[in-house]
Amino acid sequence: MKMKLIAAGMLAFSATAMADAPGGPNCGWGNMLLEGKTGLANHMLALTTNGTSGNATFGMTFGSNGCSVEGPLTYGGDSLVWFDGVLDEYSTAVAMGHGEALEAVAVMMGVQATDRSHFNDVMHENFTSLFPSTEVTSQEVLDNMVVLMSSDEKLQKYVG
Amino acid sequence: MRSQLIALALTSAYYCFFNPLALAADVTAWASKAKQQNLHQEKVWQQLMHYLPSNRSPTGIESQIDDDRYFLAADGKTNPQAELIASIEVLLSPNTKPSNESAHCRFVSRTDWLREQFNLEPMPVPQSCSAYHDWRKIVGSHRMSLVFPASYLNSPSSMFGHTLLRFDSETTDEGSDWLSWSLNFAADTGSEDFSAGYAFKGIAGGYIGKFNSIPYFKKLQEYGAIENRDIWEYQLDFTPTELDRLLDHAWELRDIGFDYYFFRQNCSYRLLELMDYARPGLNLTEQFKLTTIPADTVKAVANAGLINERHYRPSLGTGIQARYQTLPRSQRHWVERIANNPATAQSDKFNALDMNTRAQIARVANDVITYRSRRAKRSPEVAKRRLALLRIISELPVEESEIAEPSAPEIAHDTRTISIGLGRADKLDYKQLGIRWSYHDFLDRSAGYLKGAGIVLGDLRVRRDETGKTQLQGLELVTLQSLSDRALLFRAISWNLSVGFARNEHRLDGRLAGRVGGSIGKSTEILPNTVGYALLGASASQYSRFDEHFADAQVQFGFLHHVKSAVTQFELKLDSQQDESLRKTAFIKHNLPLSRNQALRLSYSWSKIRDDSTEQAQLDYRFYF
Repeated sequence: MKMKLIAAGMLAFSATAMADAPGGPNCGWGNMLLEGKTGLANHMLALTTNGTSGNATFGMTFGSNGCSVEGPLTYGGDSLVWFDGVLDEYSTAVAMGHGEALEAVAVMMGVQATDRSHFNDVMHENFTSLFPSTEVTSQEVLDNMVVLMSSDEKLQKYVG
Repeated sequence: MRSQLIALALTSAYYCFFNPLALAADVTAWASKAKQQNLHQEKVWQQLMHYLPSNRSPTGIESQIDDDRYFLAADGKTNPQAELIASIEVLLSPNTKPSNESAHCRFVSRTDWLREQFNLEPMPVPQSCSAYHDWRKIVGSHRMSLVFPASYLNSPSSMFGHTLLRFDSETTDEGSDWLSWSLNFAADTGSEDFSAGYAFKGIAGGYIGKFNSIPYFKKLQEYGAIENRDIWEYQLDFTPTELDRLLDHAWELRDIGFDYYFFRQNCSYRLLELMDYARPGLNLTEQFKLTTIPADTVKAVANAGLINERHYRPSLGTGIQARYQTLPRSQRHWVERIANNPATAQSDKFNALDMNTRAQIARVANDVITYRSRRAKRSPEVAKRRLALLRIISELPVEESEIAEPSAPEIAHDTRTISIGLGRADKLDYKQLGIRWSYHDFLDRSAGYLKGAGIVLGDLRVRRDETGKTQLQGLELVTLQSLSDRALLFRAISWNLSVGFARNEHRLDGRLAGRVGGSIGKSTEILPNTVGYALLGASASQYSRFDEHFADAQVQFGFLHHVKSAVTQFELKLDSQQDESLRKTAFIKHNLPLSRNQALRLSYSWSKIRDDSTEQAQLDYRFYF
């Protein structure tokens, strides 16, 4: 119950921040709210669109899921729409406790090099709470990550 | 109204500071100076406009860009001078707050170069060109890598490989390449993905090619996971300043259509052009007059000393194979069982295995499910199995097992071949000369190529026997070969296809016939380094007289055996001939590489039709260049 409250609090806080300064430094996790369902199962849909055919995009849009990275969907200047696209690889990396997807998410969240292996361990040890069911959406995984990080002494500074 | 005027005055003043407001008189003076000095013949101008000599253009020159939006003069595609004058008039005239779609925001490299020609101060790209600034901000210019996804089995159009560029920002050093961006030139094939149609249209020039720039991890997913191609990454020796130049020009080309030709003006050629522009004097494109084979461009970049570092990324399929091989043979059956039913992992028998073996089995099983469901929407049942497996993995210690790097593409044999041979057939000695335009057959040294796969284009053989008779022995226009050794977990089929001219010594006095043939079947690793195959095939031949045509069926059994870089092929073949009885053939071929670009090839064949048997033996020296 307490966990849920914290998560809800984080979201509410971030949503306000986003409204105030889209794309700015105060943008938090609320930025991650995406339209549509992006669960593990649906994620595979994105992979069926072969990028080499009819996909002459240039930077600003993400081909397969149609999410724009323009506007508020950024974190520290980088896109977090990104996370949705790597959820599958991320779940495997978390299960193993290492991997490029895990590394990349840590960088994206601003986790310093000195805290990375700790970040990996925390995610790895809590695989089940990060990915509680097959229906989990990327948004929910992120929410779960924030909860985990905010209750960890070393990692809470990155989500505060 | 008044405030607008003030704003206008302020903006003008702001820009005056950087850019002395060009007057109509200045523009006219620059234009006439450009004409006097023949500025349009400058190399950089030719590069920026992608002009090449052309027979079909009245001026003898034509831009390879097939898109009106790229030209500011009506006849800019074929008239470099008119385009230059129009560019001076548009781009050197002041535009205080250009919009994203305006020429000032698109033609940033062109503007830079023009200003330089007339000794004007460099002008930063206006802030109002927000799309430009946004893109340059996300695509880092700290470092660039050339990325080469190697070919994969069962897809002829991938056998030439592909290249794209990756751009890293400074933060990549401490993180992961997954945050980098790609720049890729590809034919815009729409929704078509039928390989033969793709190849035909690509060769004939039916497609428009465009640059695209998307996050690099999407490319990793596309090539590594979906298409199952191993990826080679070459970090290149370009400075951030050079990369700024390259990216600025790439920006000019966004959404701009080029004529796309599979063999020359393809993905790899366009990237070399960008590199040539980024570093004046590099001239990589000059080595590719007729064809640009992606693997050859990697070699060219290596020869130019541009490669700082190489990194190999095995595809999902390669990873599965490699890890599967490390499992004890007696335990391999667990992979399928656990993939199909993760609950089996709770059994006592499985738990009796040591922890590392269990972890590896679960890892491979997880990869196998991913591999098998990668093209389709995952069903709830598959998702459930996958999650169950990930839970098992998360509770076991998984040590990362490094996958050995195979021979790199840049050390592979060159793609053109000339061969000189001595042989004996039908009790007559002969000499034979062979020229192969491209690329690799599965007997050639396999280092840097996919084992068991081949693509041969334009293989011509001329023979002169001891009686002095000289004849065209055969011409293979296209031959594709694919013998998969991945039968363990994958249901890959093996096949071959060939189109060309050949002689059948048992038919119509061995005259030359046009021939189309193909086989399909299975192959599997029967012993270490030995792939056995069984194929069923059919062929059609047409001789010079219209009514001289034949349809044949055949069955082939054989194996390919690799010892270091040498390959031996043995095959038994039965032809059921439409006009004759059964023909039996047995042959053995052995290819012994002497160095990267030299080899000896020995072949012996025996064939019998009714009571008529023939033998042939030949020794070739092959040189690759």
